[in-house]
Amino acid sequence: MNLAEIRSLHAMTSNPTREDKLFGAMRISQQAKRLAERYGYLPYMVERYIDLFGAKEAEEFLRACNRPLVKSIRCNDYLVRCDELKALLEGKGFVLKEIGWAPHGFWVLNEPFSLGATPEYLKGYYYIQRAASMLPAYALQPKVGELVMDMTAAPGGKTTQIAQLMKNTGVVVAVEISRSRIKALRSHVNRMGFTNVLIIRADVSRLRGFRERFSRTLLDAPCSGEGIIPVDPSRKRSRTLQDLRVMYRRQVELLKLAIELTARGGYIVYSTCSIAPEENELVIDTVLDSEVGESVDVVEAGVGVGDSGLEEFRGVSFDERLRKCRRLYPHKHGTEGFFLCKLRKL
Amino acid sequence: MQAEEVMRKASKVEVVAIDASLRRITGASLREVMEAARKECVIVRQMRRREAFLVSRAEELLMAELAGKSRLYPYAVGLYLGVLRGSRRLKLVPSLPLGSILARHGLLRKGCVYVNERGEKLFLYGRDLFIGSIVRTCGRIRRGDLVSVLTSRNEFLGWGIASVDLHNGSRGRETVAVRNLVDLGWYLRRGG
Repeated sequence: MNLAEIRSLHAMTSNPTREDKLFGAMRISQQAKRLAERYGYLPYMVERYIDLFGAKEAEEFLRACNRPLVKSIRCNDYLVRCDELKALLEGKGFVLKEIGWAPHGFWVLNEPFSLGATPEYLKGYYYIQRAASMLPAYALQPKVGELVMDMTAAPGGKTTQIAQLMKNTGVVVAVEISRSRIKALRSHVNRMGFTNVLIIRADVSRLRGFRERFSRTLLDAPCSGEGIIPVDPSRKRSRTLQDLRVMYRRQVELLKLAIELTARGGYIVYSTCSIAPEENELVIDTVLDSEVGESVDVVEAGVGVGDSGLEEFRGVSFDERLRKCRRLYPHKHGTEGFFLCKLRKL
Repeated sequence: MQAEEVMRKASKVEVVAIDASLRRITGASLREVMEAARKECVIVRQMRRREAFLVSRAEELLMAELAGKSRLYPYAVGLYLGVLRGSRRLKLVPSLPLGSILARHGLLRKGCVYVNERGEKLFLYGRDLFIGSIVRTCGRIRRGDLVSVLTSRNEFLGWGIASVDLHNGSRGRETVAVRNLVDLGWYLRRGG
């Protein structure tokens, strides 16, 4: 342990804040070091997995992250009936199976050629979307004719799903800051036949003047991607605990903005493709604990899958309402690691 | 460029040009397209290209509010009609989403070419269409006409240019009948 780490540990033990506890220096057990070496992770990550699951289940999780995820698609029932799409693709040798908890979702059990190269894909009949990523739009439950916002919209999976659930009525405001990613967003919206989307290329904070306008707001927050290690193994070693702290602060800021922009009685869904409590429960808990938090409550996401949100992690207790949030894991649910939480503006 | 010029209501000249282009290419009027798409207003986004969109009243109000409060202008909104080209003789180069919505609402009344499965596959790979791939046509199609390409299930595949007079059926099966202008494969190749 170097001097800086000793100082950080000393500061933490003498007067630790919640942030210090979760982002400060961490003692790494021998078991975590051994597993980290075996599976190619940074040791701090595995130490947290042991905290999260216990040693035995942590190894199951690590093993599951080494296996590829089963691909999945979301049928666009605005353009085609889902049973018809299934028959069309199965006629070409694909094998599809309904995802029980995603009304428009199919697991793709056999893919004779690329899912992105079929005429049905080009005609907008489906979107290639990871299964858990379908959940935020279902949790949001957008209704026909509403004004809904997707705060970080590219590449467009959730935006097009919201537009689909609204039956191409109302307006979906899709905000994306990245010049390169916004092109894909527009392309997917057009391909899937939706004409109720207003795409803005901007930092979402520029919408501050729009206080309490949106019936529903989706914040699929930028995150470390700790849930998509089965898809992108480079993430086993690419993010430090300090990177998570930077993410956490940005996520808190964005969630507060999402609450500000949502109308009273409206809903906010917060989601990430990360299993890190620092980017999930800690974010929601920090916001609930702030002034903005008085204007929201946590409600059931109603998605019919997933474990409960955490009430405690590494000695930090969270608001008990966070049990209503949902967590998904590759070793338990066969999906990417995912988190979502639904809030109601009072 | 002034911010107001980035996204604005279409001028009367532009609206007339869009209507005339639509009637000439598809046989449908702008009014019919607006009804099918449930939109009320034509908007033009003028950057390097002049792109036309159809928007609803709700979208129009939202755009005005965005421009006023946050000085924000949409990157895209509503139904993308296509690009306006030319200065003295302004015309609309129709977009893929416009073709799709016209096909879904049965508004492609002329200049359409229906193709078989082989033709569909080749066209979606960016290839031209041979006479042998064409199952039927609608309306009188002359060489140089802009045509819509559809499957026999009336699914829109893209836009092309007739290379021969298609009402004249005396040509060989291997003759190129329609040059591919843009097809749905664009979403994969260029869409990002």
